Amino acid sequence: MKILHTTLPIILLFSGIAISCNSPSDAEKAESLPIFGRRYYDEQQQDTVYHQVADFSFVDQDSATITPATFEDKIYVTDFFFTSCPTICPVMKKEMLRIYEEFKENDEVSILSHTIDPEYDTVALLHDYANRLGVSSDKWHFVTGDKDAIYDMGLKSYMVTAMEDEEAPGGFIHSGAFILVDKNRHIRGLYDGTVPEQVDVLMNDIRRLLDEEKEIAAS
Amino acid sequence: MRRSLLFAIFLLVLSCGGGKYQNAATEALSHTEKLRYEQYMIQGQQLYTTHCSNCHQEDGSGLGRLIPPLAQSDYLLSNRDRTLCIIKHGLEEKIIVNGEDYQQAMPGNPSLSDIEIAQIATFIYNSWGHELGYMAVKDISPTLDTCQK
Repeated sequence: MKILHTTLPIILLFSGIAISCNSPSDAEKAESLPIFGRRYYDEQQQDTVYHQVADFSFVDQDSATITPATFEDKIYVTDFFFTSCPTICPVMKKEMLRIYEEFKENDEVSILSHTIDPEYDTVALLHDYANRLGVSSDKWHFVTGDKDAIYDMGLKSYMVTAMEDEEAPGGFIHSGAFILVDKNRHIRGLYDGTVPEQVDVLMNDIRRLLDEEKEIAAS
Repeated sequence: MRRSLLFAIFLLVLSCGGGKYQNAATEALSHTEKLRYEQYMIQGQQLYTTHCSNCHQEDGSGLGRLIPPLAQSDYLLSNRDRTLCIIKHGLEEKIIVNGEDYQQAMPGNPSLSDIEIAQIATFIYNSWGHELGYMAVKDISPTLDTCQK
């Protein structure tokens, strides 16, 4: 009886430690970030095929050509905006700036901002814009290109709204979404880039995704 | 919800006899003017959130060298009349704020009434350390009438 008195608390203590050590990693595994979009089962490959970001080719603020190859071995956050936007863009840029600062030193994280007003937002203007925002072009690409190609990327690849609308303030409607894309061009999260709390979630998801990629690389 | 909360705060402020928004510039105001000033501050903050804070941000800090700050802005503090006109009619030309040039055009807010502009002005001129005091609508209306545009 006396033995039980001394050993029981010790057993409880150890099991408590064991539970507290195991549960977070189990929970993380169980809650790996979802893959967004349509999927289908490929009979030949005997595997599920997920929605992927399509090929694209745009030009950034340094006149560099930006394609999916630019983001090889990187995860990236992307959005749609225009420099003369009078509504939600400045808030989105302020929030994106937080992401930029947070992952400044991490080469695996990039940012891609598409202009939806490519006729007005020339390379020179985007260059000035990025400069005034104080961000480096190898981390944060501001791209312009063929208008329809940009709108297509928004609607079909990133599943967000981006189009011209004379009725809207500034002449365009677009969602304030930030889209998180992994190294396999899969969409892993959609967030409201105008809401700081959502951007906090996004930054946490970036960390989770980086850990996940690390685990895959290690296995 | 937010409106009723602000109203509750307003009542609380009233019952306490003011204080929260008072500064050196409002000390000499009469009791009625002080109450009017508090009301301007509360309304002004709401209008600021709706019409201004998307770009100039909640804390008046602006955005990089793209959108000028309002907080501790030399331009704002030394060009009161011009600021009132910019709130109403927007701005096309380049301006220099605290030594930095800003080129982005600002859209105007022609739908704002004189009293709403007075409330916004009172708010921005008595926030973030500014102490320029109460700007009654009767005092700023003549300025708004002379704006070029």
